[in-house]
Amino acid sequence: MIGFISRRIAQTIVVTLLLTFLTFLLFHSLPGGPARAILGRRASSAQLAAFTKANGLDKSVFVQFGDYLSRLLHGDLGFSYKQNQSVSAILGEQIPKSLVLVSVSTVLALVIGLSTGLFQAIRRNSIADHALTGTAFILYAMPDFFLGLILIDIFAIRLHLFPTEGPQGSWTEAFTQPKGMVLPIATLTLTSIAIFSRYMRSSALDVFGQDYIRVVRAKGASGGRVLWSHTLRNAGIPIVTLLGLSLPGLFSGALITEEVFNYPGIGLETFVAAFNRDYPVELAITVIVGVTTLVGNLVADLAYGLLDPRVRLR
Amino acid sequence: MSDRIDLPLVVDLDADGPERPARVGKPPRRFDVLRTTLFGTGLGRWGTGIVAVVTLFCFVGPLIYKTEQVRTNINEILGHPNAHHLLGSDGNGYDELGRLMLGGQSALEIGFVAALLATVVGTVYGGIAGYFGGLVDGVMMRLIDTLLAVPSLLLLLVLFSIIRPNFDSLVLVLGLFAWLVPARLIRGESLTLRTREFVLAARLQGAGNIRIVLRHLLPNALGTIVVNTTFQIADAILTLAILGFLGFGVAPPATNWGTMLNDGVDYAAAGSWWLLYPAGILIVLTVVAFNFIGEGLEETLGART
Repeated sequence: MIGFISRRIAQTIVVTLLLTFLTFLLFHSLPGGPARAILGRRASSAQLAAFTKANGLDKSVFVQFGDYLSRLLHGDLGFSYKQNQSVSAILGEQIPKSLVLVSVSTVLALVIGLSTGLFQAIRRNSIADHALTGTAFILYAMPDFFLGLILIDIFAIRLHLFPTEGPQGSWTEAFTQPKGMVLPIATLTLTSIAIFSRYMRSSALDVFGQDYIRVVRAKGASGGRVLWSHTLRNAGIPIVTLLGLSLPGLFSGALITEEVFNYPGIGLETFVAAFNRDYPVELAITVIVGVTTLVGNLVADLAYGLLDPRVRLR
Repeated sequence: MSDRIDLPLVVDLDADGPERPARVGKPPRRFDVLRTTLFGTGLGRWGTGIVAVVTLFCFVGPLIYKTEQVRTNINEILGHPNAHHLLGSDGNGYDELGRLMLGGQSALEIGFVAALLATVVGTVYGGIAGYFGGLVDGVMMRLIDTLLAVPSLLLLLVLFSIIRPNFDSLVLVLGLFAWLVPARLIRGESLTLRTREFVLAARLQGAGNIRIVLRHLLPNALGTIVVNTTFQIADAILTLAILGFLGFGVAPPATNWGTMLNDGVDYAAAGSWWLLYPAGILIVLTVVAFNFIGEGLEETLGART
């Protein structure tokens, strides 16, 4: 087990370094060089030279990368010249908002997805099962942006039930103005239910056929006990991995949803930064999201090992 | 010595029509397999049908339903659907139905070419990694892990903030972003194939690396490659729509469905449903149809994805 953990951690560190280096390289090979990208087209060559020297951009790319890494480790994500603010200040304000959006919808999607999946497995091939499968398929095929637009068109523009955009202020407004959060959360939840319900249905059906379930039944356990302490626990384990793997997808989903509902989280910031060519912000977001994903996968793998003794033994 | 695996789908072929005489000793031609999937079974047939209708709509439609798609017409801005404009007109006075055809052309073309590019790059990369194995494989696969850790949408936005989106750059970038998954699949495939008896036999006969890869590994991985290409087309069309929706589309008067949806949002509050739903529904239909074809092929070809 210790070998497994240390190997996975070492792998994650290598991949994280590689990811940071590649992203760094991408932004430093911008046309005209980083100084031109930051100072803009009208900067004179003297200004460019001064900026290059002041920021150490004339050193070799490896030295620069080393400097960048040490600044990263000290919590310095860089400075956004476009917004005249440090990147950590900008992101520090926006990350909580995205976290609220993503975590609430993921929890909702998990609860709804797992329970419908289990229900479908118990009542398999019934009319309800087929209807839910059809619904799940439609939701799975629906792109976030189209579903968001449909919800806005129906519930905001035609029925006037909810506002067309999310709360604009600090992250606590998600709780003080819950009405604005309904449509964004519904969009993200509905599009991710299908992953969990499809998984749960097939996985529960798998477990139902296992020998140990038959043994438990033969021992006279009640239906509820079979379901809760045996089926759910065994079928639920890989959900952890599923969650870890869906992290990049969650980010893309949040980006689109935040754009559709003009909800100023890290996703909308990514979009705005790309439009304004705010490279330091883009670089920081790429590194943060990449590292989060890698760490998420690592945690999911380790949790898997803890939850499932069979993995540990191997 | 046969370099062909007996695909499990042979059984399915005959199970479908009992009156067909059983083929003995003759391997099925790949064309038969393809035909059964595309026109014979449930999902695949639906997918093929939808793709055929959408393709006809986009490429043959403009020949029948002729519209002006270059010059704008300010007299007909946001017109409701009527006898002249079956689906109304948009914020520039373009006929919406004609515009859907035009937008579909670029979506299908870009999706198709980008998917081909991704498949070729992925197949070569994955083939090399899997065939040589060991350290080469380790290094090449860690690079893929790294790239897969970053949401591709993020990198796409970063790239398109640097370069201008047009047909060539969209094909290139979409293709070069999508090769990671096929590379992984083909790597897995060639890792197992290279230890199979027929490959060892070929090597014993003195076949070189290039001959083994071209004559033995590639033909046997063909099923996986074909299935994956279909899924790649669906992904490319969806990603293109997302990019267009986010404002990184082709420049007017050219358009694609995502860009049209983005334009339609501006008028949604005015109740112009015809600028919203048709484009969105076409995106969903086309993406789902290509996925259907992929799943149908996967079933009959017994490919791994």
